[in-house]
Amino acid sequence: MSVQLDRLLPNASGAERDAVAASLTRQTFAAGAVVVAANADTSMLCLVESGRLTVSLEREGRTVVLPPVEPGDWVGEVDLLQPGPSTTTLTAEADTALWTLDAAGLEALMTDNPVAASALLTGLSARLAARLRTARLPTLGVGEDGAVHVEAPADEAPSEGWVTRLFGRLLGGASS
Amino acid sequence: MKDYDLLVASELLADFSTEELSALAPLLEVANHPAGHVFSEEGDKGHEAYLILSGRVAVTQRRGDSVDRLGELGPGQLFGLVSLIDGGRRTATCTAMEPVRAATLRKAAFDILAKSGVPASRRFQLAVARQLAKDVQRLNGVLLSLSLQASEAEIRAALRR
Repeated sequence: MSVQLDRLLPNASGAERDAVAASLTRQTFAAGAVVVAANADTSMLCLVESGRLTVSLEREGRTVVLPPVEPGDWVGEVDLLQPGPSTTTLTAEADTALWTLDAAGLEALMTDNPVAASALLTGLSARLAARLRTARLPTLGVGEDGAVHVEAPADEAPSEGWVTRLFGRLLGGASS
Repeated sequence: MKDYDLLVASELLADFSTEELSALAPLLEVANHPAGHVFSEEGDKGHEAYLILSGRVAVTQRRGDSVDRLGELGPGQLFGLVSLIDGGRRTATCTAMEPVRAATLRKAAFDILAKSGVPASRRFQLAVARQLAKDVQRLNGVLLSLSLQASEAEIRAALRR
């Protein structure tokens, strides 16, 4: 039972990883359990230890299911940094163990161990920057007229599931 | 208006105390740029972000043989954050539409600041992360709107055109 921080904190020292790990709370969920419900005021980062999370969005009767979040990956950094009602539903697809961090936990880490907090913010910022780069290169653009232009990246031909993967990169936790 | 007043007018630094801004000030290179100055060129490697203190900046992106105008930025707005974080290539060209006064933050300075552990550094790092999260939130909204406007099949069909 240990949290995998290799991907979130690739350049952190052992001591920094230990400090971040100590700030996390372990929670377990049975298959099918809702971890975070849409519109719930549950702003937390969720790192998957085992099992997997399904991320879905529902608007106007349509549901978009994003790529699942696998062990070692995480979801919820936008909600952690911009607290408010969740726009997604997180569901345990199998029996799932998570390590979570809420806004109060982040504040405490920043006070108690600023260097470890800096490593965490660096990891979260890198993921957010990667998502923005995905959207702007030249996947998605908003023209002067407000129209949305979508193009496949030059190295990735339009194919089955490409749009879903794009949504996954931007909205969910999967970074594949 | 003094640079200090212009800095605190930005959303990014609005909550910073005088002491915290003083700690950040040596890392921000404030300069005047003439109309037509290109802050960042699409495709070039980027190692800095800019905070506009006065003036306006046009954001454009090449699309085939044409150039899309993505928007304008004004006082208090920050651009170049993604390259500040990952040091990657610029995804758009940013050009001064008129004389612009801006504060430049270089990646090397940002990285040193992040590792310093001083209170102002973690506040600034958190502010940058929050700005990135806000930008992702905005893009998520665009994508959600897109998902409601068209089916995946329709989007894929559009992609093939």
